Amino acid sequence: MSGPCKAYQDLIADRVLGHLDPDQGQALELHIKTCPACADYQQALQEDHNSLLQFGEALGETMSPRMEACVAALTQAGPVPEQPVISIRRPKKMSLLIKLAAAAVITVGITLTTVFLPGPTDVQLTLQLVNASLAAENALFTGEQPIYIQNDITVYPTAATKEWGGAWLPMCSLKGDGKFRLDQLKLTAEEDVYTVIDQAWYDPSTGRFVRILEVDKRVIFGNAYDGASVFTAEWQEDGSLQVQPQALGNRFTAPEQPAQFFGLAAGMPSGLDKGTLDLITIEPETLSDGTAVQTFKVGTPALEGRDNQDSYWLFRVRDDDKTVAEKEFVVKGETLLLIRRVLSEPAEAGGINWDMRELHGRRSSSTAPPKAAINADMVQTDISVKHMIEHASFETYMLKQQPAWVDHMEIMDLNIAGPQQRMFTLIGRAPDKRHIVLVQSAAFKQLSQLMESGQINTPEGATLVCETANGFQVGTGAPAGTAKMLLQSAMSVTKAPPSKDCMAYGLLAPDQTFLLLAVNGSLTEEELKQLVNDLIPAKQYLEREK
Amino acid sequence: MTSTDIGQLVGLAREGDRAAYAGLIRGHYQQVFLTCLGVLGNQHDAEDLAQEVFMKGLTQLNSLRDDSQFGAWISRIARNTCINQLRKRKVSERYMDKAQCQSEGKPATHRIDVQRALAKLPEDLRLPLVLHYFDGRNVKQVAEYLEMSASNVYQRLRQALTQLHDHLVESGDVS
Repeated sequence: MSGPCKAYQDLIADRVLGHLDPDQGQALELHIKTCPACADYQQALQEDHNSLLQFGEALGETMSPRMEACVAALTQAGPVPEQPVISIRRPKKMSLLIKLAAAAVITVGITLTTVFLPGPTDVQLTLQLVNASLAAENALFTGEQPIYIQNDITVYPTAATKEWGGAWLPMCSLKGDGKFRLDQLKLTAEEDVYTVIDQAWYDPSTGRFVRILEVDKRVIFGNAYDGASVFTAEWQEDGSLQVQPQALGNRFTAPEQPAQFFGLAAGMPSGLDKGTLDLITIEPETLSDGTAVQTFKVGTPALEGRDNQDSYWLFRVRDDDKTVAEKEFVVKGETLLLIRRVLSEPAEAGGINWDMRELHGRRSSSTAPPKAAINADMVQTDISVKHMIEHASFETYMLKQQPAWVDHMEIMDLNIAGPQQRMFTLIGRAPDKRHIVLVQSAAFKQLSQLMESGQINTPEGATLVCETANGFQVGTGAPAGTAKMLLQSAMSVTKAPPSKDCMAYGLLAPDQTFLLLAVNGSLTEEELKQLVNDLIPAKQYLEREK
Repeated sequence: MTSTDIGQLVGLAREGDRAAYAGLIRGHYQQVFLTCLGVLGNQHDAEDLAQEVFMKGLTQLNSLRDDSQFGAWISRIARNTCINQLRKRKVSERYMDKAQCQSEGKPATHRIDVQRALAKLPEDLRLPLVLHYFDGRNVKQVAEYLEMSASNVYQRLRQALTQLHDHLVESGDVS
């Protein structure tokens, strides 16, 4: 028997399931009269449908004895162990919180992030639960046997997901030179819940690892180290998955803290000090499978005028072994992301080869774009001025000299949401903690254009502080929390949290380019003027350096 | 069983009344068993896991906040328990080519072939099919239970039926 016509196959199934509307039914009926193959297929599907119904009836007849067997087994079971009565304390009021990995929107919807590289070992952790949990997560990766870990990342359709067009998470992948590539796991907004499966195998004795992310049974990311090379698995334009080896650099070492690399500890708050701890709450909870946990809540700053952007992370730490059971990201009262530890157990060997050879050359059976994808090099650190000029779609600026109180400067490239929101951050680290962060973004250009055209007003309360000799106007009036967010985004360089007296300034260049400046402390008027006066177009800076 | 009845039984069960819990089992066994069957694809495994799910429910009753929602709560435990069980199957099987199954050479009954064909379906198609055909839920009810849109359920049922047919054709049961 030949198969049904492709154009009618689904309609036939819909008819058998009773889901066909009258117009489609008529069209199908006309076709079936003239197509024996489709007529046969419809009859066969109808028989399958009837078989399923009969099977269901037969199954139903077995239900009662199964049920009674279950009742008997539980009735004869021993006494139920006493479960503690869980009382949930009311959360305390919160104020400013540390932002973890999610976006915060300021003024015209510019997205900033806090970047978490696998943390330095000398970070002071003052929260006892976080300490214990990090220790427990690290302990997972010690031992004599390889370990297998699976985390599920579930994305929920919420108002925020729809508004933002999806969500994203930071990811780390290891490069052959031993440094980390900071990528973005982009999660599209879908009508239904979906899950990205994050699997990792790690061999403590050799440092070998494989990490794979899958969605809808399609591998979207792979990173591995087999002891001799580092490998990445990425989709090519021809629709094939290619596993590319990278030779190891002279200074390569395997990750020292695998827990922060691909465990649930990745993204846990670090660098906390008492000054920023005042609004983290901890309360006991029980998960749906009965696991007792301590839940601590850490949020993102609610900016002036944007109180309805309340969002926070919930970290649930198991009572029994202090590992992280799950992380939940909540926006406006709705769960947007749930990252759940599904399995962590010894593995006899890697589930696949340490060089991921099984994945090489794979082709996807679906032409539809995956629901999740990796945006490589979301964050590139310590880039050159030349890189900034080449990749910016707008005029960029550079300090012609390093400020007197700064001992180290570098530029970070954040490519988070496409060219329109690409951002370059000039970070100056200061021994006296008066770090500076200068942010330039394509989105800011849109802001200044909107202001020029009168479509939006300058923020209320904006004050002109000074005008500099090079034609810049310096003003205050950014929403409260802006300076803190900018400085948090630079913590991987400054190694310190924002101080209480940090300040934010808006800078309007002569060509109407808009920049944001944050200072971790106070500058004299002279210091501020000197700093801004030292700004020159990056192209001019490059010419000078030649 | 009304939600008031359920709430009362939960209250009694929480105080140690096994007969009350037996009543909850009887009222929810079918949906739990069929959920397990839908995820695992195998009746024996489904029966074992269903018992495990009800045992978990008995030991964790204190964590149920709204007693009238026992049905939704125990179903969620069932799905999570079965999904975890499914994933504990050897991970290496996911990445290795599976050998073609050899025919046993014996004529199989139609019922066994339907069961085999069901087991071959992926769980994301099998579960809606099982809930629709064996638990008597309409598309809207399946959508609510699985927290997905009705259009998605329609699509999965369609795919499940056509794939089931293909498996039945392979087994030689259908011409």
